Amino acid sequence: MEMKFAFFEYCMIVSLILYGMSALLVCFRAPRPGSWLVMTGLGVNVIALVSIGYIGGEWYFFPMLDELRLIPAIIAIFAFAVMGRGERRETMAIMGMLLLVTFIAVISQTDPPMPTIKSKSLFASLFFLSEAVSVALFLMAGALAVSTLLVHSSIRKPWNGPVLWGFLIFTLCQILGSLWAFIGWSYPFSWSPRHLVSASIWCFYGAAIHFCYIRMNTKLKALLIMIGIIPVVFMVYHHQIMELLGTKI
Amino acid sequence: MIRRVLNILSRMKPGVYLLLTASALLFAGAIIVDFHSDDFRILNFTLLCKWLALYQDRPVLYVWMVLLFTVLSLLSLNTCLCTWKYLKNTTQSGITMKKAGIVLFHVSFLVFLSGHLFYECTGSSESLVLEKGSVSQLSGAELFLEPVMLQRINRDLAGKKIRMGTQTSIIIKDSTGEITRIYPESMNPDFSMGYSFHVSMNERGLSAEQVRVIIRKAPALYLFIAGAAGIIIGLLFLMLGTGFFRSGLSGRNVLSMNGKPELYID
Repeated sequence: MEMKFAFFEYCMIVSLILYGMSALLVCFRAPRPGSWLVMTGLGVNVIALVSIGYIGGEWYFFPMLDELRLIPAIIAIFAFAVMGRGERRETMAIMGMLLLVTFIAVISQTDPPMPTIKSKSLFASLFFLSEAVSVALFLMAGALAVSTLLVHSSIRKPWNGPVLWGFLIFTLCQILGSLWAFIGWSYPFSWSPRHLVSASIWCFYGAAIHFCYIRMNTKLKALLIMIGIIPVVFMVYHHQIMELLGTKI
Repeated sequence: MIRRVLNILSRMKPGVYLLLTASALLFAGAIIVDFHSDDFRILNFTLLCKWLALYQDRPVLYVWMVLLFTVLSLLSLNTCLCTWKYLKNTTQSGITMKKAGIVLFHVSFLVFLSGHLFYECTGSSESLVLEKGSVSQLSGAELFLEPVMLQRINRDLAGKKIRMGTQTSIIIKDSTGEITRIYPESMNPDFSMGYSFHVSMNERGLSAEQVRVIIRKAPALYLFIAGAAGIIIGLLFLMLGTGFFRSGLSGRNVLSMNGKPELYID
């Protein structure tokens, strides 16, 4: 058991190093070797996820959807897609977010999810997969907003696409989550921090996709998109935040 | 005065601010619930009005909810007015898939919200501990339940025993003497006689011959389902109508980047 954990943790460390080297190469205006390194890092990250699913001589799909380690892999896919194509500043912002989430995955003491009774439903797997994709997009949007604020650009709004796609996938995720909660717990919505913060994120990004239709200062829009990642971080890294604060979970 | 308020509420800008306020209130609520989880857990099985009566002397617990309901009511009104305005302004030039998608998404959002409201205020939910061989009655209904089969499923995972739920077979007898047999199991409820029967995952304090079953009647669930289905169809229409899949990650066909609003006139 411990051997397996040590293996995926080791893989995440290797991924972090590869992502870090890739970010350095992008920094030094060498996006092509940088993209190969991020691809290699992604491969190692995927190996980590697959190894998490191997329990007791059998493969299970549900543990592979461990959000903590899946989110870096999804951001790495997007980072690879924009490398050399998008603006360097924006690629750097996405790489910065990738390094941050991978670092959290490396230092976190949280065990991956087990294929317990809750994972029996297909809705559970679809819910976590769609949530991880939308969270990755929201975090990227936040990083792009920070990059816009830093260079005082008032023309480009690079966060628009990730916010829109993230919102659409998050909407589907909430519907899947409601179905899962109903068949498992008998209620589609629960008065729990997890459900409330999900509703908060949905409302926030619901407002954010309307930003481009109203007259508002671009810097203020960027600032709001940046603030939007607070509930996202609270939802995904709730366990780690509570650990950091020393609060009983 | 009312006309002026309606005029303001028929613009998109207040809608955006209302959504941001709702988001902030929900986030504040999440933090409050984090510290009072036991008080709020009851709300999952109780009607909102009954819960409020229980906690009326503890305003911190529910003030954010009152504010949230006010904001959501205003948001619903704003969504109604904006959608109506959009329909009036744009359908004269014909109905496209994109326009239908936008309207359907917003109408479905309203249906979903109203489903939520009815869900919190109507229906019933009861948790019963049933014992194999003995009959229990569902309170407020002439329904008698008797579990005839109970089986706990466990899985051995790398030397660790993992609980995979309970399979049951329950005989239900109603006031007319009609007998129905249901087979609910963990994560797989059974629907019968207008109720849904869920095997609870909380097995604390139960013997091998007992099972905890949640029996729920929630007519508002149909509104929930209608809202969710409408949202999915609306999204599909919007995506197909805007060539969304061809626009890649930029979403440029959906979100106007040149500052010219496509959806509403503000």
